[in-house]
Amino acid sequence: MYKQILRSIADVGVFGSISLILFFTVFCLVLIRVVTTKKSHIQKMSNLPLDNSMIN
Amino acid sequence: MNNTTVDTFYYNNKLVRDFAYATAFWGLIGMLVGLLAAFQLVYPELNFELPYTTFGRTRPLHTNAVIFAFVGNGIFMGVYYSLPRLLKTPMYSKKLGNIHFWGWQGIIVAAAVTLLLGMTTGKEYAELEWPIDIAITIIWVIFGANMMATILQRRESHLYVAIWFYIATWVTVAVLHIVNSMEIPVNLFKSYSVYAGVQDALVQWWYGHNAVAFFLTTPYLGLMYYFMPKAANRPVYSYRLSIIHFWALIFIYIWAGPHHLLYTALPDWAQSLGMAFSLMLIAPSWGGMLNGLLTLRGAWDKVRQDPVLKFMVVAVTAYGMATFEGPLMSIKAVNAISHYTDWTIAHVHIGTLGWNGFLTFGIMYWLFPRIFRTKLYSIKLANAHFWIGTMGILFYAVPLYWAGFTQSLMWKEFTEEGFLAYPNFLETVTQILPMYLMRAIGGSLYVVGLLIMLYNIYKTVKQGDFLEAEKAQAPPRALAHVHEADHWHRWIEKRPMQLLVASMFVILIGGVVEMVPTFLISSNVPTISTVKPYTPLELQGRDIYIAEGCYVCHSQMIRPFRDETERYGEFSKGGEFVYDHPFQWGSKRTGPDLHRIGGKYSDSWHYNHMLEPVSMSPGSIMPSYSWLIEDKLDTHTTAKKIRVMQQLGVPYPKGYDKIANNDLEAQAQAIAERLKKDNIEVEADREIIALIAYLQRLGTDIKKQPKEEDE
Ligand code: HEC
Repeated sequence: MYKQILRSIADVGVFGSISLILFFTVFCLVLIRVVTTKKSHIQKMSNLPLDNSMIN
Repeated sequence: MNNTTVDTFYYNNKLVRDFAYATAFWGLIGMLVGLLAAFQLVYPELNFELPYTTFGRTRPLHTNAVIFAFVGNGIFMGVYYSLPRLLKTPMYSKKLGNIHFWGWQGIIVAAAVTLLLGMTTGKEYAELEWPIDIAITIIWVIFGANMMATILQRRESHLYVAIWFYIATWVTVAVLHIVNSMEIPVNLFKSYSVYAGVQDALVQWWYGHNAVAFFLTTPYLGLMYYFMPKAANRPVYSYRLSIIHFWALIFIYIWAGPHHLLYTALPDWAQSLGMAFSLMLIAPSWGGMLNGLLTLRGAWDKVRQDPVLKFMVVAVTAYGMATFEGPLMSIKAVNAISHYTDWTIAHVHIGTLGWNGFLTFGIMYWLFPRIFRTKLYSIKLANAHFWIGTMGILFYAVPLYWAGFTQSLMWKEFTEEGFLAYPNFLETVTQILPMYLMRAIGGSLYVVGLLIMLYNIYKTVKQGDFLEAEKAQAPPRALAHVHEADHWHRWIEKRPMQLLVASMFVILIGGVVEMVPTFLISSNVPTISTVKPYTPLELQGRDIYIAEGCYVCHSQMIRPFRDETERYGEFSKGGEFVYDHPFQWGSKRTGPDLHRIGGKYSDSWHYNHMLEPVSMSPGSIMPSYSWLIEDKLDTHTTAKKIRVMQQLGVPYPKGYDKIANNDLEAQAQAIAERLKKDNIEVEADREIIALIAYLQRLGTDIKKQPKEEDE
């Protein structure tokens, strides 16, 4: 039955390739952006949870 | 810039506290029900011969309670605490917050009642019937609206990564819930999934897997990224890593669903895709785990003293273990062994008891002293909880792994002559009962730990002084803006709506690529010509099967392995399920597969077995279903059920709804007469008759005209 389903949509294997290529692209974009972010900004971001504005 | 301008405002701790109480309360309830279910598997008497308390209903109640009530309230507790503080603004609306709180608790109560009454869609972790599904949607939207409005009125222009996780969680859960809950009502308490068979399975496990991903994982990762730095008083090890963790995780997770359906009738390419993406999941998950653990670098002396950090360390370690094991179990060769066994149950409990449970406990121990302006009542008790809880997890998981391996090996073992070594399924069950008992004891330990925590928190609350409105100051947003060149990441960090849309886009790609082909081909799934719609009586019987939760113990999906075809018969074909709204493939074989049960036994065997399983199968742990013999089948619903099925494309002849009950009665009469020949006196209008009709039909259609169109 698998084969019948597979035959019924042309080139089903292409879905696998599309998904992997998509993921790879997104991943690379994120990676480039993250690596090129300035250190000062990263530091500021990572300190956000600790930044205590509470007064009491 | 004028630094003297600061806004003064107040964080509201009331909702945080209430969600925390709800987390504790439902956690206890959910886990006690889990204990009951665990003991029921060892001592079937504990099913109490009542419909409401059989394993088929307690198990869904347990899973729903711990996922949506315990972890759900835990998420809201953490979000309502961390979100305002990260954004330096109170939550947008107290009123929406209150509606959210009470709405969610109301849903939980409704869920508990309806599940015990047997009102269920029969789809795991999505069992709730359509009115509750709608209520969940409304409350979820209210939660999201409150969250987004809070984000929009923030004073901190940058969104910390925890908030990204919250936003992605919100979007994805909304999409999952809506797509998987597509159903057509028969009446207020009953509906049929619009999808059937293979498609229903694909949608369901796309949902089921991502419920784990986006309800039990991503929101808790958000909590980890906030509360762990808080508790350790140091920033996260690598913020860069956390961003990669985020995007990689939400991108990959959504594809992995089909790993729940390996070797089933799901198309091969979808299985392979699920396996590939599941394996890739190891990378971001371990990145996240290491990021959490390394946050504590140089603070291990603190970990030794602070129970909060101890709980968090075990939680994150459990996250790492579960996310290593998950991909492993997605490898087809491993899955062939692990699927349908207790290995899966052990796996999820590493995740839930370790990751969700311990992170929740850590956060609570940290949170309560703060919002009650006091110290934790007893560090000693918290440490005791930690150790008992950890032992509980080990005593829970290790025996179950053992049980899983043992049973799987027994299922697959052949004698030298080429026969199944354990042809009687029950033998493989009784073999692992001691392990089931140990598991139940492990679970009890875990609950004892929880009780200790509840006492400790009660005392802390008693000695404390609740701080309802917590004063805070921050510069208004316009002033807080420091102008830097806008980068892409900052573009995202500053634009929550874009983040929401981007994450929705990312998760939709996965869903669409997997599901669209499966739906497109639906029309050309080679319907096996001998597979016909259920008769009205069988349809009613099927609904009893669903209501009694037989699917939590029985699968209806024979995989193409020699041991399975030997044990159960011809392996299952996708075309056999085209009229199954919903599908009932199941995920766990506590009892044997039932897909080819039709014709295996006589009607009277089934009658006696349902009335008293041990009479036919000595030592069986299947509950007794004696009420099915007393309860009359409700045939008022037949016509409507047929019409809904017709709407869904099931080819009953036009106008069949009006005469369906005639056929139903005739078939029931025939079964009652056959039973009479075996000296069993039972009225033809009882539920048991319908159930027997359904069981006898299961998997028989392809035998009628062997080997036609299927491969
Ligand atoms: C607690 C788990 C559990 C639940 C719930 C459960 N069963 Fe079972 N079932 C078993 C076990 C274990 C066996 C094997 C021992 C035996 O024959 O009783 C079994 C056996 C069977 C068999 C015989 C299968 C065979 O090939 O010999 C049938 C039929 C059956 N169950 C039907 C049902 C139906 C219908 C329901 C729901 C009304 C149900 N079961 C609910 C555990 C369960």
